[in-house]
Amino acid sequence: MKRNKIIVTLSILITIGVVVTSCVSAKINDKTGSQLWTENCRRCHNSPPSSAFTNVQWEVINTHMRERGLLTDVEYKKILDFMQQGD
Amino acid sequence: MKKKLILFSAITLLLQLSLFAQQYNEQFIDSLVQSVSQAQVAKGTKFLLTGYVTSTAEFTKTKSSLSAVGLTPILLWKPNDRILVETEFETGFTGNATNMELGYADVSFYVNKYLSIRAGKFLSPFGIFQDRLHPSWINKLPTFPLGTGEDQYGIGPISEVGINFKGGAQLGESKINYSFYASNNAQLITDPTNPIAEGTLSYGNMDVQSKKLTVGGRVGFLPFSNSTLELGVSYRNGYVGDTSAAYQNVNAKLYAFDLSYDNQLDFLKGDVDIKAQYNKSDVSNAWYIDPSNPTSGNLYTYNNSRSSYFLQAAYTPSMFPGKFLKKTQLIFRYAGFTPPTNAIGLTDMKQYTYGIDYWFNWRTALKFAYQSQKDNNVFFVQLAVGF
Ligand code: HEC
Repeated sequence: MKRNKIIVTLSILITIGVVVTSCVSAKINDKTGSQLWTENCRRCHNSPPSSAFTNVQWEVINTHMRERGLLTDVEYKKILDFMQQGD
Repeated sequence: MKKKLILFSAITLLLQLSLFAQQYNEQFIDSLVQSVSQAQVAKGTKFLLTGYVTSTAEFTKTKSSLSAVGLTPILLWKPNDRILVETEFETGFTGNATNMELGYADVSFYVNKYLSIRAGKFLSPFGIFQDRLHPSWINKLPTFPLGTGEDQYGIGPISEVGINFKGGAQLGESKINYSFYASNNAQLITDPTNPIAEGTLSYGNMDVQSKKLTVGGRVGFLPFSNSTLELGVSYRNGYVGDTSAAYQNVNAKLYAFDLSYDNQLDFLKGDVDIKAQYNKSDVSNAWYIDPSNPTSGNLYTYNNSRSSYFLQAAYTPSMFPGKFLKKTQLIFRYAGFTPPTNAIGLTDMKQYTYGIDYWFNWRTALKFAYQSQKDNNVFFVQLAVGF
């Protein structure tokens, strides 16, 4: 019974979170690489810092992540540009 | 190849030993990771050796053991702008056996902005757990949720052997993505000597022959432009019997629904991450040998419809002061399995897992978890290191 309560509470939390975030709006194409990186690269795992890999490695990794996250072409290009600026 | 693996095992073992000796700190790990990648990757080639190492210890009332050690190297190669090759080997040591399995090996070809074609053995886009969350440095808990593996509770494959069409696009302020495939068929287990597996599907047998290939896919929808929420629907349909008259028309339809939500929420002063998946499998009518009396050869049938699900919520107090709290994560996961009614020997199962992780860096975690499943309670400690 207690466990069901936890689940109900969690569901309410999700709903609140969703309502709060749905106020955000901007087309992906208008976003900067840094913004797209912040929003996308944390969805499945912790975001890596740009210092973790070299520019060439980032190209391979971002292609791999485009595969995994089914990122759009614009997201892929902008995020890669942003990651490669680091060095 | 062999040399590289040996070098890798040596380095990763060293890394683990030193971690256990509690000499760890973030810079140390970073510098090791960097030296590994520099040693392995000649500058300028679009080739990357990455992966992860996992050590798990289990404690119950009656026994304690370092139960599993695994090394999963991943090789990525981008020979030109349109091609990506990815391969993953899962090597491990459980009990007294070493095992090695090909996790995936495939080639992707980028046709245009909206379509890439992939062929080979690839992680199945059936739901999200296997495709996106299973690596130990990503999975926040030391165990897989009940119902996602390829065991008697599992619904859906880990990987497919076939061809895959996929891509993503913007849709107003939302995003949509798709991944469709044609792949080898699963196989219905009808062997009564393993009663709990009878009626389940096994995947990955390259010799399996059926009338037609399996088809399936997933469509994901991200309603908000900040990509915090993704909802997905998966479907997989194919023959699962062998070509004998009794089984050739047996078919399995699998469905999954998934949800991912991840955001920093000011009112909770931290990051909230929610992942959930519901799986359902409907196998059409087939005859099974009564497992309670296998030698009799008595046949029986039942409505082979089963489901499994999990819901996981994690919280990181990322907006609290202090380094320690920011790197700590609390996790709760609830998972369950509902067997087909009237199937002999199968019972309903629920699993509750409570965890606390400490993240040394973005892909190195020390995880503690307590898992209760029926009358089986286990305490886990796991160290996961991505490299
Ligand atoms: C849809 C989920 C998802 C998203 C979104 C995602 N990743 Fe990943 N990422 C993964 C998975 C899964 C792996 C592990 C790959 C494996 O083990 O097969 C991974 C692995 C990695 C690795 C390790 C090297 C590698 O390629 O395996 C890096 C670095 C990485 N991701 C960076 C990123 C960056 C940068 C972004 C944003 C562009 C991103 N990820 C977005 C799921 C995701």
